[in-house]
Amino acid sequence: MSAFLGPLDIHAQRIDNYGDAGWSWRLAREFAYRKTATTVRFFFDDLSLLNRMEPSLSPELTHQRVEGVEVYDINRLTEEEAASMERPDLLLEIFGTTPPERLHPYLLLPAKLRIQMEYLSAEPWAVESHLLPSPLGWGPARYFYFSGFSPESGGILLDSRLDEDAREMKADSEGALARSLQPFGLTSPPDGNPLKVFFFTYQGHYTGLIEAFKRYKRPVLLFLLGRESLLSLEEEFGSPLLPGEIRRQGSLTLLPFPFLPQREFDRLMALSDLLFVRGEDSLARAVQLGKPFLWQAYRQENDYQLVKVEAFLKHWSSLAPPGALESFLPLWYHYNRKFENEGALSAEEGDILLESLEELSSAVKFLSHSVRSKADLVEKFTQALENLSKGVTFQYEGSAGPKSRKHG
Amino acid sequence: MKEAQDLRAGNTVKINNELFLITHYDYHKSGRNDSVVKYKLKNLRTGAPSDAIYRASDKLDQIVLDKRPMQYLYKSNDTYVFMDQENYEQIEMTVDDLGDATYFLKEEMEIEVQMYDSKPVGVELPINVELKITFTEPGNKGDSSGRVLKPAKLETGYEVQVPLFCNEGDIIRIDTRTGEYAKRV
Repeated sequence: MSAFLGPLDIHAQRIDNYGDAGWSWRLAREFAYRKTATTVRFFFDDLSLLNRMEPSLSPELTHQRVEGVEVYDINRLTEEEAASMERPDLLLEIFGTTPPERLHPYLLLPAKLRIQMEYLSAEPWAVESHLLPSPLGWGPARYFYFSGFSPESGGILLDSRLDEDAREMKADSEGALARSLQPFGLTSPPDGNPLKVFFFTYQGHYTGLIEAFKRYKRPVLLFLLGRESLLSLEEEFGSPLLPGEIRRQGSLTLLPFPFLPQREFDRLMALSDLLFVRGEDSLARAVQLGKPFLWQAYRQENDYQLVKVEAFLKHWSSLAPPGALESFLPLWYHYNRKFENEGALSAEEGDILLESLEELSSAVKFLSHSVRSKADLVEKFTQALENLSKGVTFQYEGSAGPKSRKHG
Repeated sequence: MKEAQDLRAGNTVKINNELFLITHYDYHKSGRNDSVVKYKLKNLRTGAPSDAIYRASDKLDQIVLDKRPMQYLYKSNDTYVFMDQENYEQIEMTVDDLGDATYFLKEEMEIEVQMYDSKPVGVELPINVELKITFTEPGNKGDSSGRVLKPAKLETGYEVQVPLFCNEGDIIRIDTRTGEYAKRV
């Protein structure tokens, strides 16, 4: 692995839900975990939000060290404090975040490189735009970084902690399931050998899917995550679904979870047999885990999410054996196009999905293997830096160059 | 200063004391943040081409070059011939000079030609141009593929995504800033 062993500053912000913030925090954690950078400083604008995902992080402190990351509340950080900090070399600005102008003299202008990290996408234009320069005529040299699924892209973020947890849970899956059921006062599932379904969706109508779950050959244990999933199913069930309160209909058991910190959320994904995921962060986790999944892309004007879904499916199809995904394609489009008004998937489509889990599972393995071996974001980021930093002298380098610096 | 999304092919920007002509413009929707725009640039001093990408809201230093009103006459091989509306002199420009503008030029169209060191370097297009669809597949009612757009070829050879209800022979309006379909006329 090509080694970037200098300091890294990451700037991120709350955008709408938890996904973007969670992804940014996961990235900072991963850089610190892999010891790719000598120090990782993470500047964020809403530590209360981050605290819900990472409870060990205090929402009250301007500066703290968590999971090997130096975390700063950018809104509390004064000019005087910023002036006394070490000057940055490399800025990673996530989803359009830039340090506030009052802090530019300390946290932006001294840097040598600014990398603009963009959303995960398989669209060809995004892959083609990866690492293009973005010269403004002032400040540090700036480049765009597009995370993606192919070796030509910036890769997807693989979380080492999730891999470790998944391995541990696989070794004791019964114990892991029992621990997950504790908030519901259960020590084992109500029915034996259930299909464990992770259900994290945007708000919509899911009547057909629920019907398919009810008539599936095995009992279904539905882990409900996120407010929108709960609200959607409340409509289907006609009364509020309260976190921690079990709801049963035949062999379908609904388990509405309260808000879970990132690690618990990830562990529940790792425990499940089928994943309904939404947005980019949980999509990346599903791919990393290599489990059968159905993805809802973030809804955009004029159904633009369909373009993203199409690009993703095209890339995935190129990796799986010919025809392996064919029976799932209409289902994926319907799921992403109709879920708002007409209902996401008919019961028959739900049946197809549930009856083809093995085929879907084996197709996912191709995708998962490909990104793990060829599109690991942290690995690709460090490789990219080798090229982008040619001709750039970082402050930490002295005269010896980045490769000569030993970590620690 | 102008936002990157408001610049288009034919505009000139100053970056690090060099002048660059934008010869190609692509607008891309991103995720929940700003969209991005991609340019192909030509350095007006060296002629060297390069690619660059910006957030739609990034501010760039636009330089307004001298402009002359001209009429586009015809194309001969890779050369585009224009006539100066004031002195009736004819000038020639290449595909490299014109970039994306070639997609939208119709004979007799009146446009402004940008001059740098007394030489024509690019053209400024109107924001909207109206062009005829010369080929597109019929849009099927009840299409369940999930598609909402289909490709169409226009009289200038340009290909654009249009709604399924557009047909051959229709005149459509194109936004030259984005190169996208705006409406059926």
